[in-house]
Formats: sequence, structure tokens, C-alpha cells
Amino acid sequence: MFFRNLKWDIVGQRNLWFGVSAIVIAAGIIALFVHHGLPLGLSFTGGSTVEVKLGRTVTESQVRTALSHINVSTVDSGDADPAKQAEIRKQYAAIAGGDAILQLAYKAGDVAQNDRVTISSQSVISDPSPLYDALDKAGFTVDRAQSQNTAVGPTLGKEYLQKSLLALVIALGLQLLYIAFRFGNQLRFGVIADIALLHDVIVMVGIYALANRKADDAFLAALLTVIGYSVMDSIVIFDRIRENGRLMADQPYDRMVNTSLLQTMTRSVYTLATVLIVLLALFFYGGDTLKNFAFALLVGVTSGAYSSIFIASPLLVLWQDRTNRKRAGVRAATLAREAAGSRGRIAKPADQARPQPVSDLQAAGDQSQAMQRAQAKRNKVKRPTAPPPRYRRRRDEGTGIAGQDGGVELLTDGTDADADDAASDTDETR
Amino acid sequence: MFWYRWKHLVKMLVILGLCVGCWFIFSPLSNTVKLGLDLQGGLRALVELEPNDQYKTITTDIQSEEMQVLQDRLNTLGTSEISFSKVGNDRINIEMPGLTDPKQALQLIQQAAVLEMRPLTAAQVAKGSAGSSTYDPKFNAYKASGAPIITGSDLSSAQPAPAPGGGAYVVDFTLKSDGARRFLEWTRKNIGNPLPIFIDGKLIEAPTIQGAIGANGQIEGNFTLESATALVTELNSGALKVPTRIIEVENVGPLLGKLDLQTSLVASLVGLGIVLAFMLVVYRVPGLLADLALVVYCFMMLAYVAQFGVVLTLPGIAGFVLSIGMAVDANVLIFERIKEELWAGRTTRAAVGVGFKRAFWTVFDSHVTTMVGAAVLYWLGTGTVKGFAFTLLIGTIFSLLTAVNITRAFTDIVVDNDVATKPVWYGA
Repeated sequence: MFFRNLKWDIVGQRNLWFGVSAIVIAAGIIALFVHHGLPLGLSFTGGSTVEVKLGRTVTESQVRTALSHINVSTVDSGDADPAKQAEIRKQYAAIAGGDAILQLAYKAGDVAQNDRVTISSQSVISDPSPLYDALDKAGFTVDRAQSQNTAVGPTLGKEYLQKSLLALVIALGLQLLYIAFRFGNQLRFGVIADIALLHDVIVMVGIYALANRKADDAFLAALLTVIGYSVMDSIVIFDRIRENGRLMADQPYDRMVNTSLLQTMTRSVYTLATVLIVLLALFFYGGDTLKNFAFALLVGVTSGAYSSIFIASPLLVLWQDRTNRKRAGVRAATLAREAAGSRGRIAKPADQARPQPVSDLQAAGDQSQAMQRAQAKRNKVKRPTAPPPRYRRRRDEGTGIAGQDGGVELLTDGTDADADDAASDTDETR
Repeated sequence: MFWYRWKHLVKMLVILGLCVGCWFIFSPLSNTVKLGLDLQGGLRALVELEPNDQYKTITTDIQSEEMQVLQDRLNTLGTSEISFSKVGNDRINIEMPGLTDPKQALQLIQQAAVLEMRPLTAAQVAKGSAGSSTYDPKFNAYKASGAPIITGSDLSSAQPAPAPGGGAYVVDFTLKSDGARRFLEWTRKNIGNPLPIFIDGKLIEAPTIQGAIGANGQIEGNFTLESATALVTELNSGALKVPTRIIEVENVGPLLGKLDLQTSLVASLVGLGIVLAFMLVVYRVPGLLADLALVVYCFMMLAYVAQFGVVLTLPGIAGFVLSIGMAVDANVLIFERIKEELWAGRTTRAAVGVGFKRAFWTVFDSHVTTMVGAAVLYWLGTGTVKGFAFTLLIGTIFSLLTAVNITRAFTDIVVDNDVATKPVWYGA
């Protein structure tokens, strides 16, 4: 009950919400410009990461010095091809020359502080033993059982990047299709759900650029998951808005949307909370791989929840306002035209739906408006005459009482029957 | 009617049976669940076959042959459960869980092990061998040499042996009959000349021929036991037809994997625990029922993983944890709806009925949108991401089943027996 009793005018504060999004997105775009695009992870650019566990606490410069003493000339790839051998030596030479990003790390349960180092480099090193040897020699005994390394060749990285972009495009396309299928007859819901979706993707990319994190395959996985989450979140709220659109037809549109938001707010908050709980658990307790992934999801899921409440729903109101204004404008124009053009002639009600000779300027817009008006009129007539389905009585099928008593309808109480009718009502109107 | 009297009992028995069945499938966990490389430690290498002069395009036949050669070679390492799989038609994925020293494996993968004996003059040999007075590092002995007399395919067998002087090792080899005949003829003609032996284009040694040699020979390359064994392995399993290039490597230390497994298990359990508590506090009776359903869900997931040999990886655990969030979301949707119906003045029985019915399509939507993303990711995703996508996909399907059907079955019992009739028991 908390949120519905809250007199919170979310729709009225829309400029604030749009502003917050605009700031986040703008910051992200600036960050993107500063970094010359989204920095890509090694799985997309090619390169290698070596994570070593050392025998004692080290500093970055100590590790760097140790690496500079890699004995490049003895590096043996085991490869016969002299060209390949030279290539590998060159890559080790690059690392010895300081072309590696060092990052000190610490894991829960470690005895010494900062005894783990992540060495990432553009060089593709499949066998890091020369590197381990150099660190051993410097006195930081490498615990090989607690070390790991990954390497991706540059061409393979490019291939992965292409595949990932393809996956992103296909996933977006499929979600758009699903949205279209779900809101087929109502363009505005579909379009705005799409906008919310794009919003979340842009925010995720922007925040990643801001945090200067590298987009890798985990980021892609998070992106695709968030896209699904965002669509789902929009659908939940839009469903309620559509439902309330019927139930609260007498209320102004913006108030109806706001009420819908407050009604679904508990759900939104709880869902977000449970998802955030598991993500935070992953973020704090999960390994390094999961940490990066959980971060991307945290950002995306939060953005997804935000966009469907604070962006998509106010946009719906704006859309409605625009339609209203257009309608009002057309009505005024029609009235003026009738006053001017058909002087002395009284327009019959039936004439209104029929296109009338108008000036060239209005012709195009007017025709569809006339159709809309006709539609609105039909709706108007229909609504009061058709009784709300929930008041029609139907046999209770859920409890099975009717069956038990040999077909005699036995309703335990009125609300029970109402309930099932209302339920079938949703089914019918979907 | 039988069904109306016994349906709850039947449903409960089915669910109980499901749980017991799942329990038998996945228990004991440590035996049934396969851990991925990132949790168990080991080496994964993606190998690309590169065309050479002889084979300009890589066909699937070459791929199969190369895979066979690599299998023969790597199986000598004594690591259990090495798995090989073809990727595309010019790549081979090799996974060696539990491998502690990747160096040797990487060499076995990369070394073509093309053994060749090609004629050179004594002066050329001196120019090409390091340590001699006329050594010229720019001189390419391989290119200077003539056509090969003997190649690896002429070998019938090879084995390492301790060198006569002690310390170092040599490789003894035996030639096939037809190679032996050629070798005998050539060595008879070239007594006093060097016999240069190349492996993968590298001049290993060039002993001077003392007399005609028949089927048996020896390579003295100043080997250690390890390098001699490696060479023998390679020679015996045959040479690679085309060179290999390792384009992706993932090598995880065994202890590190164990550590990651522990922390991520802690993460999932903590997440699961808080979520269970959250549901209980917020939704009370149905919260408890949803928690039970969530436990059933976990049982089903574990059983699936155990039954179908799904390899559990870190991203896979992440997918599992996230699908728990999904399963809970479905219940949140349903229970919120029930609360609303209660506020609207319905009886608990009616509210539960309507809540489940009305929320179903929204729940369905949320699962479909998630499945779409997961399916695309599984289809096009790379390596580790696939594991995440897979568990998320399976988890979403199970979640749809449990969140709707099993929670419903539990709730129906409570409602039909008038156990919790006050709205307050529903968090309303």
C-alpha cells in the first residue's frame, strides 16, 4: 500500500527524470569521446592476461623491474618456423619493454596484501613460463597453481567482436519484433518500449566508458540480458497502463499513467531489489570474472527499471498530449472551416466523419484525424452500452464446485464469481 | 469425484517424487557435476590449422587427421579426460582439465615434428651449427640442403635411450623396410660426409657417416629425458601435415579454480539466502510457498546439470544465480497481483485465483524476453559466455514451470484448506 498512498507525481516531474537521464547519457558520451570510443577488452582486441599469485606483497614498480629482466633471447616457443619464433620473442620483448598494464589485486583469504598481479598486454602469450621465471628470479616466487593466463589472437578477437555485434543486432531485432507482436495495434507502446530499450543500451555503454572498464564478452552477455530485462519491465508497466486505460477512462491520461506507475511500483522495487541482491552477492563474493559481469548487469538492470518507470511512462503522456493537441487543433480548424465555408448550412453529425473539402495544407493530416475522430466516437458509444465484463456472471470453473454438485451452480460468495470473471476479462481483452 | 478430492495429494506426490528423483540424480553433487576448466584448473587451447605449400586449403579431412595426431600426442601426457572438438573446419578445440604444466602440452601441440634427413656439405654444416668457428647466424641450412633422403613417414618406431656417455639422452629410431633400403644405399655412397638431421626445419645434428647404416639409427641432439620423450612422442604419432597456431589459450591453476568455485558458491548461496528471506518477510505465507518452489527449482536445475553432463563454469553459475532472480520476479508479479485483488475486497481464494491468472501473461512475457537474449547469446556467443547463456536459458524455462505451476499447487492447498484466510498473511 505504501506506494499507492504516496502522492508522488512521477509524470508531473518528468522534466526532472528526463534531465537525470540526459546528464548520465551526456556524461557517458563525453567519456566515449575522451576514450575515443568504448575501450574493448582483450577478448575483442586480442592479447593476453596473466594473473599471478606471488609469494609476497609487491609493488607495481617491483613487478615492472622484474619483467624487464625477462630473458627474451632464450624464449623458445617450441616452434620450428623461425618467423614464428621471432614473433614470440618480439612479444616478450614488448612486455619486457614495459608494454603491459599491471594491476595489483588481493583476494579474500590471502595472507599477504597485494600478492596478486594481473599483467595484461597486447602481446599474445600462450605459454607464460618465461614471465613466471623472471618473477621467480626476482624473488617473488610464483605460485603456479594459483595463477592463470588467457590469450586471444588478434584475428580471433576481431572475429569475436564481429560475432558479438551481430548477436547484439539480432537480439535487438528480435526484441523489437516481440514488442511489435505484443503491442501490435498500439504503435505508441511499441515505439516507447523501443526508446526505453535504446536508453538502457546507451546508458550501459556510457557508464562503462565513464568507469573506464573494458567491454569484453561478459559485457555483451550483460547487454543482451539487460535488453530482455528492459523490455520485460516496460511490458509490465504498459500492461497496467492499458488495463487502467479501460478502468479509468474518465480520468485524465497523465493521472491514469501516474496511478498505474504507483500501482506497479511495489512490484518494480521488489523485482529490482531481488535482482540487485543476487547481483551484489556476485559482485562482492564472486571471482574477478563475475565481478565485471555483475557490474555491467547492476548498471543495466538499474537503468532498465529506471527507464521503464521514469522515461517510458512520462513519454506515453507526452505522446498522448501531442495527440490531444493535434486533435484539438483539428477540431478548432474544422469548426472554423465549417463556420467560414458552409455558411448557412448546418452540419449534420454524420458529416463529421466524412472528409470535407479543405485547404491543401490541412488535407493530409486531416484525413487521418477524421478517421481517428470516428474511431473515438465509436469508442464513446460503445463504452457505456457494453457492461464491464466483470459484472457479467459466469459459472465458476476454478473451484470445481459446480461439477461436484451435478451441474447446479453454487456460488460461495459474490466476489468469488466476480474474481473469475475479472480474470477471464483479462484473457478476453488481451 | 476422485480428482477433486485427491488433486492436492496427487500434485504434492508428483512434486515430492520430482524432488526425490532429482535428489537421486544429482547426489552426491561432487561426483555428478562436471566442473569446467575455470573451476577445476587446466588448459584449453584453440588451435588453428594453417595452410602450407603442400596443402593450400584446409579440408575437414586434414582437420580430422591433425586432430588424430594431436590426440595421440597429448594422450601420452597421462592427463585424464582430454577432450577434442572440431571448430569450424580449420580449428580444433582442446581441453585438458587438471593439467598442471601447460608448457609441454603447448609444445606438443605446436611442434610439427617433421623429421627430415637432407644432404649438406661439411662446410655448410659448420656454417649452420652454432659453436663452430664459421658459424653464420644468417645462414639457413634448411634452405641450402638438398631433397630429403629420409622423412618422418619412413620411421617405423622411435624410442628414447640414455646416451652412451651418460647424462644426456638420445633417440633411437627404426626405419621401415623401404626407407631402410634407401638409407643404406645413400649412406654407403656418402661415407665421410655429414648426415644432417632436421626436425621442423631446425638442424639438430650432423654426424659424420662412418659406414653404411641400415634400418636402425640414432639421433644425438643433446636431449634431456623430457625433450627426448617429447620428440619420440611426436615422431611416433606422426608429423602434423600443416602447421598449427594456437590462437586462444585459457590456462587456470588448479588451486585458483578451487578458490573461485568456493567464492562463487558462497556468492550464490548468500544471494539465494537473502532472496529466500526477502520473500518470506514480504509475502509471508505465499512467500514461504514460493521459497519452497524455489528449492524445488534448485533441485531441478542441479538434476538437469548432473543428468545431461552440463559443464559447470563460472559464467554458468552466474546464469544460475540470475535465473533465481528471474524465478523470484515471477512470484513477485503474481503475489503483488494477489495483494491488489485482496485490497480490492476479494476473498483470499478469489484473490489467489485472479492473481495467478492475471499475472500469468506478464510472467510469460518476462520469461520470453529473457529467453530471446539468452538464445541469441548461446547461438553467437563465444566460449565462456555460452555457458552463461545456456544455464540462463534452461533456468528460465524451469523458472516458468516452477514459479507458475509449483507455487500455484502449494498455494492452492493453503487456500482450499482455509489455512491462511486473512489478507495480512499475504503481506497485504
